[in-house]
Amino acid sequence: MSSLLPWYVAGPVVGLAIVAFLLLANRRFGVTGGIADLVIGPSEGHRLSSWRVWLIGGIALGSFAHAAAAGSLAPAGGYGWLADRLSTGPQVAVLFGAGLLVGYGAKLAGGCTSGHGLTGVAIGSRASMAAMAGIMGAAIGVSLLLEAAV
Amino acid sequence: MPLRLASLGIGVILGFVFDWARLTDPDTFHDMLTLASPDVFLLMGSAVAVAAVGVHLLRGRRALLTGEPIGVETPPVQRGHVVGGLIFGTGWAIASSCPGPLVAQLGAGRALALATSAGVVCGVLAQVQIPRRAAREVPAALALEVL
Repeated sequence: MSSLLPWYVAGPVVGLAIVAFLLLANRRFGVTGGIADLVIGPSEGHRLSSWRVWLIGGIALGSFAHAAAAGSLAPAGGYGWLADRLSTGPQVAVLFGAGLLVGYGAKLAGGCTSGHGLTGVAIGSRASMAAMAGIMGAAIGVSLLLEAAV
Repeated sequence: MPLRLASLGIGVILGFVFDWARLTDPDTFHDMLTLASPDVFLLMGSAVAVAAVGVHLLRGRRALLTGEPIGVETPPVQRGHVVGGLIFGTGWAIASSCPGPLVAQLGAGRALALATSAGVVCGVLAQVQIPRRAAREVPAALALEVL
C-alpha cells in the first residue's frame, strides 16, 4: 500500500497553484475550462494554444508519475464502493451517466469544484459560492441517499 | 508559451499530489460526501485559505508574465450557477470524482475513468448544443464564463 499525503500538505499545495496562476498571468485556476477548451476548442486559437489544456495534460502526467513511482498504476479490481454493489458492465453505464451530469452541470455552472469551489470562493465570488452551495448540497444529499438506499 | 509551460509544470505537481492524496481513489470522495471522513473538506478548506491569503497580497499588483493588473472581478450570480451546480454535484456523488481528480485517474491508468470521461465529454457537448437549439426561448444561451 502506498503512502498517503495528508490534507494539510495537499491543500496548501493546491492553494499555492491557484496563487501561482494569478501571480504569473492573472488567470483563474479551474479544470473544467481545460476540458471545455479541449472538447469544443478555445474561443481563440488552436486547442494547444490554451494554457488550460496544458494544465490538464500536466495533471495526467503528474498522476501517472506518482502512480508509477508508488507501484499503483492501473489498479486492478472495480471502482471502489461502486464495485461492491455492481458488476463491471453496470459500473461502466453508471459512470458514463454520472460523467454526463458532471460535464453538463460543470459547463452550465461555468466551473467545477476547482474553478468555483477553490478559486472562485478564494477570490470571494458570490456566483462561485452559489454554485458551490448547489454542488455540495447535491453531492452530500445524493451520497447519503445512495449510502442509505443502495 | 511561458504560461503554457508553467501551466504544464503546475499541472504535473497537482496531478502528483492528487494521486498521492488518493483523490484518484473513488472511496476517498465517497467517504467525504457521506460525511465519513473530514479529510477532503479540510484539504479544500486549507487550499481556499492559502489562496485567499495570496489573493489578498496580490490584488492590484501586476502579473509577472503578462503585466496585467491582477484583478479579482467576479460575475453576478445567475440561475445557471445553482442549477448547474446541483446537476454537477449529483454526478460527483455517483462518479466519486470531479474533473481534476478524473484527469488524474486517467493518468494513473484507472480504466473505468474512461467511462466517466466519455460521459463528461458528451455532457459538455450537450450543454453547448442544447441551448443553441433552444436559442429562441433562451437568448444568450446561459453562456457563463467557464473557470
